Amino acid sequence: MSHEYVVLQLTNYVVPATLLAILALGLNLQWGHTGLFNAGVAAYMGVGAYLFGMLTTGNFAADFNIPPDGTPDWLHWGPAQPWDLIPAALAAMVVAAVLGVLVAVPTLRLRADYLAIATLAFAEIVRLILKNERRLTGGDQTLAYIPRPFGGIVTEGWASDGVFMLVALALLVVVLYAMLRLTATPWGRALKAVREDEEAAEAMGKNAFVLKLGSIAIGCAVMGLAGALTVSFQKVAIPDQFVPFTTFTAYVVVILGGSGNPKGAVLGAYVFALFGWATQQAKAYLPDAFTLRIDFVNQIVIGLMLILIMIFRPEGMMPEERYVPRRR
Amino acid sequence: MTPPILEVRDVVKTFGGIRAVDRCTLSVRPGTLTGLIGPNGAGKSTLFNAIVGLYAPDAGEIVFDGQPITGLLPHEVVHRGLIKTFQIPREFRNMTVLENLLVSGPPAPGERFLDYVRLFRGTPWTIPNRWKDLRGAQDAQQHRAEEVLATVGLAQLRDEYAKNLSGGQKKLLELARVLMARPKMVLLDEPVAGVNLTLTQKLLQVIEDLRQKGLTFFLIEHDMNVVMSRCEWIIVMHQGRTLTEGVAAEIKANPAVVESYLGG
Repeated sequence: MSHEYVVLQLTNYVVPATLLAILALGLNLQWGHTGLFNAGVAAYMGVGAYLFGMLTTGNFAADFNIPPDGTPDWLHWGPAQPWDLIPAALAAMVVAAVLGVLVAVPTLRLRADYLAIATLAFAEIVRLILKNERRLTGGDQTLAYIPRPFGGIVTEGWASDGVFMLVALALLVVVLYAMLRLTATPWGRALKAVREDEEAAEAMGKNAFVLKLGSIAIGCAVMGLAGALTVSFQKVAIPDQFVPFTTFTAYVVVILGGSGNPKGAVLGAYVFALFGWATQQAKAYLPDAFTLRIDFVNQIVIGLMLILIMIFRPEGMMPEERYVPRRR
Repeated sequence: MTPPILEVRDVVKTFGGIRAVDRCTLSVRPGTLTGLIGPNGAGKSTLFNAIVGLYAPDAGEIVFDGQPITGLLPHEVVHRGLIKTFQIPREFRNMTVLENLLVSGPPAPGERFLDYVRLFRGTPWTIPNRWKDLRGAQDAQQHRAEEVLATVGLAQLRDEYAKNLSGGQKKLLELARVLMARPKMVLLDEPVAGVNLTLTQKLLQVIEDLRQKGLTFFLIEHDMNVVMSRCEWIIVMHQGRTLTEGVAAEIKANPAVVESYLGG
């Protein structure tokens, strides 16, 4: 076995798992800690992904109609220069957070389920814009040539995948650490009170509205980062990736791992990604007739797993930890 | 005579066609233990919810500590020193007893974003000191929570999940939680309903001790023994408004009260 093969096999599993873990960490803050039912995870991820893609390629708008002479007519009405990756990723996070807050403000004061309805509708709007606003996003023809970190040094092949894996892992560690610290603060505790009983939390002096907005903003920013990393790894952004199934996947990961525990969300992502990876591996050994069907078997297994978890271990693999400080 | 700490003037709260609170007017003097009694559906709990901002009153005015608090949000009312317990305990179930206390009251040190912004203001080499101060303030808050738990006798259940407490212990937790907020006045919605005699005595003792220290209590209670023996002033509500008020002996002797509530 050559080292190239090992690295490629490893990245095939680790990179999707790590990106899913970052996405799940964002959702875990909203759903696991604050009890907010955000049904538009895919949209915040998609917004981050596309903004990152548009900024780093410098093609804020690209006309894909190829004129008779054969040269594509690129329209630059965004930044003239492609952005660096770090400011672009930060911009993706900020815009995802701002959109999260904008959708949440009118609905958070209403009953809890209205947030789900509003975010679900928002997700569909975002997806349709990504799909149809071709001058901006490339639509179904995709937004291509999105760079990877250190793309100027390691251009392609197994080394590029390996480097990306290390960058993603480093970012996962940063986000996980930030989440562990954030949720351990009195702010994180107040979020839990809102999750347990919002009215009682209000009556005990907590400003539930502001607490929920904070949770939305930070959670959506992390989702935006996950989106940016995803398209950076793929080098191309596809609108059909940001469908409700992606949101569903994020929920399965959080519930599987243990909602309310950031470490659980990461564990959930790595276990979940195992299924996708195993499915791909299995294809090599199966007769052709099954290779298409196995993807559906995979989805059945995921659904079944969710049902079993809800029946036998509703708190997830790694439940929320009890807070037991030293006596003061 | 000292001015009242809480004044309710002509407050109205309707649900559909029902006027739950119908131009109710009453006042509570500071440092007292005042009782609010009346038949079921008289509007007592609704009035409490309207006072603390859980319901927005349709009309009328509520003044607390000289300031109008009508239409304020619940958390704003708490910040002014007025807080209420729930009739059916609404503990934060999947949080420990200690955490239930720590989340109660105005924002704790380190709960607001601003607390962390402040760390980075000014000279950089004092950041560690300010961080230590913030942690110190959090430790002090936890210390106070442990003291409050000892006061109500829940100290040994500090790390238990609130959902695992018994009904009576949850009532104690409700009381501990509101005390944690350092209120000037506490509204108690049936604090001893469903609580056994020993625990009732303990709860009442805690309330009496705190009243001695200057805290004002306003309580809804159906246990007439408790109300008549403990409350120095009693207000009777009937059909959404105050029927009468007075000391225990006057209430017991009032024919209107006997007819509407106490019975023959």
